[in-house]
Amino acid sequence: MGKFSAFTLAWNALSHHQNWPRYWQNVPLAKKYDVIIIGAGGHGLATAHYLAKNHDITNVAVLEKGWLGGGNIARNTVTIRSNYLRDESLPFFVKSVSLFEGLAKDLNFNLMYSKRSMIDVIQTYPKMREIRRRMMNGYLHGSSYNPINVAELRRRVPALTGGGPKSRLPIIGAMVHKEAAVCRHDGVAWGYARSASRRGAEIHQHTEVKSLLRAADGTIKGVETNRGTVLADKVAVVVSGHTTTITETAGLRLPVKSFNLAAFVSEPVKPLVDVIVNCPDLGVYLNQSDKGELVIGGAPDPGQSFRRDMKQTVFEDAVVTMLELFPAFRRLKLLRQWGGVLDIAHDATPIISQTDIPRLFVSCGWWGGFKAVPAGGYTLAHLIATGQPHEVATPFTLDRFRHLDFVVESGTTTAR
Amino acid sequence: MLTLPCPFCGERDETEFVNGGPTKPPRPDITVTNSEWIDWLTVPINPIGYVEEKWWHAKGCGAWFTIKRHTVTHDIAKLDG
Repeated sequence: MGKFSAFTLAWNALSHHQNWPRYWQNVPLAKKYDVIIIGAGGHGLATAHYLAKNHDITNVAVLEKGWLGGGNIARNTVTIRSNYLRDESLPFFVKSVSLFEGLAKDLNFNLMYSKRSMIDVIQTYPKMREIRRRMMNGYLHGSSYNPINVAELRRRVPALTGGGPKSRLPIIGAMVHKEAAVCRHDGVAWGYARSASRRGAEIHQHTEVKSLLRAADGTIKGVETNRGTVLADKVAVVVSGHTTTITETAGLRLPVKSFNLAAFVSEPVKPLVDVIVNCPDLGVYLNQSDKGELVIGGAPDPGQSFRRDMKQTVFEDAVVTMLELFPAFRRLKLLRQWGGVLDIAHDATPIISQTDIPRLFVSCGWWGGFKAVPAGGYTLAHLIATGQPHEVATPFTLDRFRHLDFVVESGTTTAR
Repeated sequence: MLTLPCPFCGERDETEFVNGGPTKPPRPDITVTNSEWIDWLTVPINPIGYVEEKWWHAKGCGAWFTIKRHTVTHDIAKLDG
């Protein structure tokens, strides 16, 4: 039903595009499902899609407190990349980047996927050493990361006029990550929702999970929502920053803390920067959207937070440091800012795992989780269906905390 | 702008401070089980509400101190006791 193609586009043009089928169905909430996924964000919807596509599990309900795709899938800077540091992380993110490349075709949905390289601007020698180490590890795992000199950097990013020899932190070099891309974040949520729904999964918006329910033997039994009790064989908590809020209702504490990470956009301007520019020494990164807005991200708030706004000090830091490298941007007006609540383990590596409560699964600790949406959903679906972690997600289980075998990752935003 | 109460310098701008994370409960006795020890070591409190946390006046007097801060409103409350 409703496959998007040149033919259906022409056919629907005849009826003035009034008769397109809905992306997803709104059906009544049942009493029991095989799998409940809490959270209709990128990871939750991707999990529903891959459960149906790879494992034929379609008696699935995705429960969402607010509206579909209104959480962190709408609150990121749409960067897709795989230039991580650790042997444990790299295969996972390489898998995610490759899934993203074929995703528009897989979902039959235009994601406006745009592969455009990311350039890391390096201004200190310690960062240069760290980033060369990432380059060499990237070679081993098929993630490209190539050094370029300052002249080549300025040729590729003409707007980058700051950071000269007399500045506070002169630019000493740069690294190009060719696989990096951006794509439309709403498209990812809607595409996965549409695909999951047409394969039989149910999506229930405005259905807030109040607590997890446990059976007498301690296993998970279902969830209590604002629309009544819903039972399930398996429950997956995929709610980003509020993971502990939900798991603590069943007495499960997790090794994550929640933070607020914010970003902002400028007014739209003509094409100016055609790559993703990341400045790890300054802690600011930006890309230009298809509309022409510069999407700019900075550092997280200091201290735990469940807010979704941007702190003035964090905002000023990001703007001041960006203007050091892009002085011409001082004339830009800024249009919007937003924040999102994310949770992070202290080793900055995600958690895709079974928990101490049998048949309760969590996917959390996502920091820069947008790039991980396809692989996160793919591997969580594998874990739910088979009970075993997928091979690229084996290091991401909660066992690493039990054995104090951490995967300390410096390739994320936090580690700046 | 958030201001933090340094016990030595008084109310100062948050840009002068470094967050030291939430405080831990007292270190458990040597006789605890492995899982209790791992919990103490790795699991922080993460409430929607007041969190007891440490701050370091790094760009000021250098003092470490503990406050209670609300994770949604940023309201700072007095410590118990």
